[in-house]
Amino acid sequence: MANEREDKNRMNGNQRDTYNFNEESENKEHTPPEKGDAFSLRDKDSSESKELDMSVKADLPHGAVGHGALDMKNLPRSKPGWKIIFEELVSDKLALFSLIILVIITSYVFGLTMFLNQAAIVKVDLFSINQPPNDDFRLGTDYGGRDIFGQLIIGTRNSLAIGFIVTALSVGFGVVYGVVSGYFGGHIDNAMMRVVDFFMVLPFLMIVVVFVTIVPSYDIWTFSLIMAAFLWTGTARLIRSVAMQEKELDYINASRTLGSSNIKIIFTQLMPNMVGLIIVNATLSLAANIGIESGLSFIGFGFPESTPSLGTLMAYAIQTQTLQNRWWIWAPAAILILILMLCVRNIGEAFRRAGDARQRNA
Amino acid sequence: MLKFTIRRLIISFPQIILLSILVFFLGSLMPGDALSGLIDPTVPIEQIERLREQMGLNNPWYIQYRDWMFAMLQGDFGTSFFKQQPVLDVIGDRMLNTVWLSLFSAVLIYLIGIPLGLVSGRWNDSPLDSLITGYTYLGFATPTFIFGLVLLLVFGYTLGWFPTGGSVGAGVTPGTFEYVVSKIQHLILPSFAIALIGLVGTVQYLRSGIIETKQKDFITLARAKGVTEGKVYTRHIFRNSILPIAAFFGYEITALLGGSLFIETIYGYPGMGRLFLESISIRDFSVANVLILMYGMLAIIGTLLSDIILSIVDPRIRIK
Repeated sequence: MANEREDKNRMNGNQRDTYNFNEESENKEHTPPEKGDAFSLRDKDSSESKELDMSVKADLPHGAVGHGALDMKNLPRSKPGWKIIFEELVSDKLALFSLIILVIITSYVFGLTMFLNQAAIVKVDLFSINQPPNDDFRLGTDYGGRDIFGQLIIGTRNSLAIGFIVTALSVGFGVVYGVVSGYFGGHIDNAMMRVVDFFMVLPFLMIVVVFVTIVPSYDIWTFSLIMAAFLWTGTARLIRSVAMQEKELDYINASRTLGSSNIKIIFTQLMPNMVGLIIVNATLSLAANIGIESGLSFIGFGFPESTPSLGTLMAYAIQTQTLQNRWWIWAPAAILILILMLCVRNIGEAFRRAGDARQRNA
Repeated sequence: MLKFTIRRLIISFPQIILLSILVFFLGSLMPGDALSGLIDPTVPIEQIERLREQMGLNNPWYIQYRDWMFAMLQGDFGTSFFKQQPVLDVIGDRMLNTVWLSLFSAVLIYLIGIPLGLVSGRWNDSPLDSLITGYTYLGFATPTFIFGLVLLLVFGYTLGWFPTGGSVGAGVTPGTFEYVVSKIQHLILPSFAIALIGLVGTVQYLRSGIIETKQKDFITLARAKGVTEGKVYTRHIFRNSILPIAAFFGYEITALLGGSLFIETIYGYPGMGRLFLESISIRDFSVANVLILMYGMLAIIGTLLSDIILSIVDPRIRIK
């Protein structure tokens, strides 16, 4: 439902744009010719963008603007991006199923944690150590008598939250970095890509472990920042390579010729056209980031035990006794990690197919 | 070809220098310096200050960095705060263990991954291919440490087929046949845990490579010339689709060497990754620092190697 409404809004938006466009071109016909004149425009722009391809504009005769303009209202319109993604998701039953499961888990976990008391759950209770699942504790307790079910719920919320934060930070920075590098090209691109190359050879896990040990005030935000500081490079490389192809297209050249500033082109024209790719990349990194967080917590350098996450629950399994005899402590967390990773990946794959017309199901 | 190699080599020098500066600053951020663990707390502060002055610990950072670099170029990687031994001695045998584990895993990855990729690429969309694709699909979503734990539980504890920790059995003398057998037994579980997840990428690359090459004109030509179906695959298609996998060999080895953190922790395998975590938890940062530097250097060499192999097998790269 929400999607349909969005589609409608988007379509209205498109129509408004077209209307404005026509109005503008009508205005141009009435104004003195030099305003829309291709040659005067070229003179104005030549100083700032010498590499621009002038062949198309040079072919236009004087006052050609407005003549032969397309009838914008009756052009066949392609489906809006959101609709394509939505249709692809619905036609792919596995992805739809994954989305439903993910939404259920997320809302259940975030909803339930509002009523759970984290301090009470992580409080040590020596009278109920290592209990198997029973009526009091739905999933038993750990060596400190802490309720596993409560830890699992809070842990899933923490893991999801950190996954989202790290993804937002790293993909956000990576996208801006990649678009700037790809758009400007040349020496700027060369220098920026050497930085990326350098980040990629760093032993990421080890440096994160060191930072986690030496950072004095350590919480969910510093942890996310440390992780994001090393995870943006993949996104930056991908986005840069696509931005390099995209900037050669006519609409960017046209916008540059009309005198749009680089910032305007990058943020209002280039980036919106790469939204599909960014969403796909973000979804796939979300799955990876949840895995990395649980891995780091597993070896003891993510969240501390007092802040449960799926990884800290798995970390109990390093002890032989727990691994062999107390499945209720680690097995639910392991299964939940698998389910989350599979769901997010399935959705990401459906998004990726939506972005590539040759692979679409719908 | 030579020009590309030289250019690529020149690019990696600034990387090495940047890496060393980064590691140096990480080292100065970590608590403790070369004096830690050497002096007992009763020594008066003036004397400590004099010692610090003598050892150059009060110099500006660029002079300290220069001294540190020169010492390392001469093979002096410092002393472990904790064990009071040269860092290289501490790392020594651990490194050998990790190298064995990585080699074993790499062999398994290619030994299992390439046949799987070949089968699923040649008979794509057959039931066997669906099985293999389903496996790679699950493998992509499974973190290595969960898979390692499950293998340990099933084959180590429940079935008791393999040892559950360490790199060699107790009471076996080095050099004997039993020693080698015991080493290999200890390697099997961890290396399979790494390989069965690590081969997923290889299988997918090979599968899509074969499916793509199958439709090329030169394959049709080969068939038209009367080349037998088996030879079309072994001679023509396989050779062309194996190139990217051969080229990624360098990355693969680096990833294996660096990615052993989880598996070595789970199996209590005394390798470099475990040594790193141990030295971090006992605050022996001198060892940790050298390990980071080593892994960084390995990654630089690995990418260099991969780029050079790639330029040999794929001439299009060189034009840039």
